[in-house]
This record gives sequence, C-alpha cells and structure tokens, in this order.
Amino acid sequence: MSNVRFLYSMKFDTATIYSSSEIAGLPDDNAVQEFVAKKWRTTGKGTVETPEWIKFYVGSTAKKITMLAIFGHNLTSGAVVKLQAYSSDAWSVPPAYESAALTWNAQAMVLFLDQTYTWWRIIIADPNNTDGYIELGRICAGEFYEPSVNITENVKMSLVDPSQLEEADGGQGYSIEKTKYRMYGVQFSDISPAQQEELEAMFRAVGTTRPLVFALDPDAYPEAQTIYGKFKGGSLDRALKTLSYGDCALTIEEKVA
Amino acid sequence: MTYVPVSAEETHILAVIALTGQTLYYADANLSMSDGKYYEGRLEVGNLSRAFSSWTEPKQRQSTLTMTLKDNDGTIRDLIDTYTWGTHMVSIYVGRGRNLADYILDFEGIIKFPGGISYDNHRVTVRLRDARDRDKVTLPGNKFLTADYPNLEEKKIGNPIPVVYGDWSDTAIPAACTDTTVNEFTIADHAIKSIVQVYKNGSPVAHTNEDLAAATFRIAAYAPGTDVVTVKCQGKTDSGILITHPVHILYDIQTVLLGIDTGDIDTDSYNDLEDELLEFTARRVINSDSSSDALIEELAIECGFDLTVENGLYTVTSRMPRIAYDTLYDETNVKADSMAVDYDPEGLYANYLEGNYAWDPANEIYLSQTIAENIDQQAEVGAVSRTINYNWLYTEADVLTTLGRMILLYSIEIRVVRFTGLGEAILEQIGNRVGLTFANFTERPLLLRETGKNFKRRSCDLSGYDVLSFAYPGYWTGDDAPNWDDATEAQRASQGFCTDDNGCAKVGDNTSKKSHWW
Repeated sequence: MSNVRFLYSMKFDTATIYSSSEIAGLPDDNAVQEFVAKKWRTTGKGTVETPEWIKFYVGSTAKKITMLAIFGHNLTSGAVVKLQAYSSDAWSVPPAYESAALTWNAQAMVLFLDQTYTWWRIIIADPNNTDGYIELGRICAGEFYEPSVNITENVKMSLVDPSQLEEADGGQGYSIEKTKYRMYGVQFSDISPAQQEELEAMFRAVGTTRPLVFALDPDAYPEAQTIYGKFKGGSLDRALKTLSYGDCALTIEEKVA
Repeated sequence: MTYVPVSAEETHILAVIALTGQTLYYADANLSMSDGKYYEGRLEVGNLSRAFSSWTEPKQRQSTLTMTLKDNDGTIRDLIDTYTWGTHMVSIYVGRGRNLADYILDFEGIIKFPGGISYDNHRVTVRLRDARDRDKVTLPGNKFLTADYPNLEEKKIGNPIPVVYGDWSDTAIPAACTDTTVNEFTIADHAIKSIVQVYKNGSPVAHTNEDLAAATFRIAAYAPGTDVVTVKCQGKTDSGILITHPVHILYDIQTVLLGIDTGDIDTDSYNDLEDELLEFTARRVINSDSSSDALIEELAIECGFDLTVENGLYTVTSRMPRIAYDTLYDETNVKADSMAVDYDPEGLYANYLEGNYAWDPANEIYLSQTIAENIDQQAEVGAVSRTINYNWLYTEADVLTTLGRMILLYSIEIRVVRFTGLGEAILEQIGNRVGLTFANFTERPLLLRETGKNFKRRSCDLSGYDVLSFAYPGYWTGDDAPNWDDATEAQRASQGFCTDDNGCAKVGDNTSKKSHWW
C-alpha cells in the first residue's frame, strides 16, 4: 500500500513545449504556468485518429517521470488521454512508452509510472466536447516524494466555499459565487529525523509560495484525492520527542484558479 | 453583450487597459475567457461613484473609479516604466462566468493624468475619470496671433477668436480688426450665416467685402485703439442652417469643437430631448477662455437636462419629473438598514427666482430680467430667493418657461432618498428612474442622482430625488380617473384634476393646489 505522495519538482515546467494547436491568447506555455485558470486552449477537440497533443522536450539528458497530474481541464468523461514517451522527436507507432488512458475525473487526472525519456507527449481525443476545443489549466510531471512513514489517520478534509453573501432586508441573499476548493490537514507522528529532513527539504523548496501536488491516497483514490495547491501557514512546525523523533503537521490548500 | 443579474452567480469584473502597443487584460480572478484571452487575476476594483451636478450650480462631478492591481511581483510597475499609462483608455466590464457575451461595459474612462498612478510594494493604484475628461477642452480653440494676422490690431493680440452660436440680429457683438491696412474685421472662427448690420462706436456703418465663410467684412475707416466696431449677425451654421436649438448647439460643440465621434453619441436621447425642449432657442458668444465642460453644464442647467456617459455613449436625459420607473426596489433587494431620507440636502429650495437674461457681450451686461415666484410658499415660510443668470437662453418666453419649471421644482422641499440596492442594482446608472416600496414608501418613484457601485459586494448605493416631492406637470386624464379624495398619492401627483378658481382640486384644500404645467 502506498503512502501519501508529494510532487513538487515539476520537470515539464522547464521543458521546451510544442503542441498540435493553440490560440493566440492562450498558448501551450500556459499548461505549465502556475495558475490553473491560465489555460492552454487548442483549436480543435481531437479524435482518436488525430488527437490534439502537447509534447515536452526535457533536454538532452533523459528525465525520470513517476507522476503526471492534469488540473483545470474541460475534458468530458469520454475523453481519451494518454502519456507517451520517446527518446527522440520521432513518434513512431507504437512509441517507446504509452500509458493506458488516464481515468477521467473532473478535478484531476493522474498517472503514476516509472519511465525515463527525453521526449514526452500527452495525446488527447475528446470528440464529444461541446466547447469545441480542449483546455488544460496545469500539467504537473516529475518524480514524486513518498515518505517512508505515512501520515496518521487523523486527516482533516475540508471543502471551502469562499462565496460572498449580501442579505436584503427581507432576508433574501445575493451571492457572488466563487469556485470551491479543498483543504487537507495531515499529520506525521513520531517520524525519524531523516524523514523530518525530507519534509524540511520539500518545505524549503516550495515554502508557502510555490505549488505542489499532493496525493492523499494514491492507491484507492488517485484522482479524487489528489490536489494541486500550496502549503498553508507560514512555517513547518515540528514537535520533537525522544531521540529527535517528532510530530509534524501540514495543511495543503487547493489552488483552483 | 448582456448581463441580467440573478441572486447567486459567479460574478466577475474585467478591466481592459489599452496602452499604445500593448493591451492588458485583468480580472478579479484568474480567468481564461471566451475571447481567447487570459485575464490575470490582479484586479481589485473599489467603488465606482457617479453623480450629476447640482441642479443649480454649474459644477460637474465626474464619474470616478479607483482600480487597484496586485503587484507583489513588480510586473505592473515594470509596465508602468515601459509604457505611458496616463490618458489611456480603460474599459470595465461586469458580468458572470467565462463568456464575454454575459458581460456589459459598465464604465469606460481614461487614466487620470497627471496624478493617476501610485504604488507601494504590493499594489498599484490607478485612478480613472470618465470620457469627458478626455473630451474636455478650453474654448475657443484658436487665438488671434500676428503669425496668422500680420496686421492685427494691437489690443486683440492673443485674444481668443470667438465662437458665435445663435441669432444676434438684435444685439451687436464685438468684431476684431484683423487687418488694419484694409480695415478688415473678423467676427468668428468659423463660417457664419449672415451679417445684418455693422456698427462703429454704436452708429450703423456700411460694410464691404462680406465673406460669410471666413466671417469677415471691411469698413471704410477705422481708428485702432479708438473706435469700437460691433456687428449684428447670425452665427454658426450646420449645412447652411443657423444653429439655434440648445440640443443642436450641444451636438455641434461635442462633434465639431470637441471632435467627439458621432458614433459615441446616443442620438435617440438627443432627439427625445429636442422634442421636449420644443422651440427653445439659445445663443452665446464664446470669446474668453472657457472650459467646454462648464459651457455645456450651463446649457444643461438652463435647459433642464443632464448629460452622462452611458455604455460609452454621451446621453442626455430631461429633468422633467415623471412618475414612471423601470426597476422596483423592495425588501427583497434593499439591503437591511440602508435606507435614509434627507430633506433638501443640497439647499435647492427657493420660492422666488430672479432670472437675468439677454447677455450683451459688447457691453458685458444682462439686458433683461424677469421673475417667477410661489406666493403661497412665501406666505408660509417667507421669501427664499435665488438669482439665475442665463448665458444661453435669451428670449423672455424661454426664460419664463424655465423659471416656471424651476419654481415648480424648487419651491417644494425635495426629499432625497438613499438606500443600498442589491442584485440588479449594480446595473443602475445616474438618470435612471426607479421605484421604491419600503418602509413608509409604496412604489415611490425616484430619479437617481448619485450611484456608488461596490463591485466587491455587488451592491449599489443609490441616491435619488423623491419624485413625488415635486409638483407635477399636468397630464391628460380619463373620465374615469378618481377625484382628489379617492386618488392615491401617486395619482394625485401625476394625473389632472378639475380645480376651483384658486387652482384647488378640492375646494378649500390648499394642499390640493396642483394646477401646474411643465
């Protein structure tokens, strides 16, 4: 059984990006931009025979990818999304690596794998998409970090509605609706100094300002319980006990815009 | 583009900033919109305040809006250093969702210059003014200069070249000697309709070389510095027709002198106002540096209309009290504890109006004076007087008509009702007529004079004249209309009644004295 997983070093973010199509105001570079609401939008919606695609050249040295996560998409449940990889920009059929179709989920589409290549490509076919185009808000790919000791069972999951409400004299409400988001509060208990250092290294890398992907239950709910967000709170606090073993709490706030 | 607010929706505000060579798209949240543009979520829009000027003072209160852009990363400050922001156009859209078709243009203005930008380490504040700020100029636009007129008489050097509106056939106006070698005079900076008679030192003299396109003429003899030459004439024309109607004058100032595109004018509203002002005639010699805003505002006050910019179009609305309204506000869309009523906060009340009119630009005096008064009110509270100087209207009939309207409006203590509207209130514009059923009011018509939109809360602070404060113009009334005793307050205010010899709809009841005509 897997423990929670963190993806915080995004290898596609620094890649050279190409795509089958893009519109001028929403180019393919947006797919690796921090804001989920800043979309890459294609001109078409792709078919299985002629899918839309976006590919990443990660440099002359092949890079290992163990997790792919896609957020902020407009895909329908019938969409077929696959990850492909090859050692050069010559996409023979079949490619050197091709995943099974990713499981559709409205919030996130997630794939765990273990492959090392220089060229990566996501192909998308969504012929029944009524928008007439494909939109992806954020593609995250890289090597996840999985702590050796998992979080405790004391997990707090919140669904936050930040909408604003004004009430009329008669009690009628007028609301500015805003996109709801999740917050996960997790705790590590009695973890070793080595694992604490791993958490500290992660916190030093992203702090509270850079995004990461958090998969709460990669085995049972890889899509439904994986969020793109940031650490909330200004510090990484540890309570130390005997032999420097200690407790550590983390809160991750989902970023949906 | 349309936007009809509903009670719960994902509302957004968009700002499009058009700089030279760069258009910036911002919103109150990160949005990829239907137009294929990414609107960066840096925008914090505060209140958009709009207000008409006072009904009596030529003071223009512009629409203003302060826009704050989040700038922790310094991106906006870099853009400020790279591009010129001052005087550039900003469009503010309000609506919902991602489809631009569900938005409306709520405000179009320019970035104030100078003094429109300020920032700290976290935010850049941009102050906006409505389009009138861009279209405001000093009139007349040209001056008498020796470069253009080498033989210009000395006392006219640097003076503005007049703009002459209307019919001055009965009052002589100054003319400037622009070529002392041939005694040639210039009347205006534009073609004129006719020259009726030239005067030297108050006595008629013959003139020659009449050139109406250049607005010039010559006389036989002239002693610069000693003689004074004036002329009775007819001024500016449009397609050869003398411009005299106030609405035509407004249109000419805007489109010809200010250069406003005709597509930026709501001609329907201008036509409606023209119909309402009937045979009004106006005239003015603009011969000293004057703000076009002030000139237009004086015209609006004298003729009883308001000028606004709505949906990017210059729009005129009559101040005539009407009982009809578009949107009704009640407990379902009035914010709790937000309503208040003030009696005449602007101090408009007057029951004795003195009108000075028929300005003589040669002698710089008003040639005539007339009055309008409400004697009953004077008996009740004493005489409260105000003097109104007419600088556009000049006929006794027009001045008496407008004074009569003003005494109807001002000799009653006007109630101003304030409340915060929710939902569709965010769409209200000044000049709109709304109804209010709340507290002790039932379908009370209000004429909005001020709006303050709070985009963060999607509410709007509304301030309007309680139209039932006013005496009403008479309306034709059906045979089956209720009599005074049976009529509602609204019916009493709006419909006609048979009156006794004292003008009372109910014999002996002075409160029923409603026999007035607009």
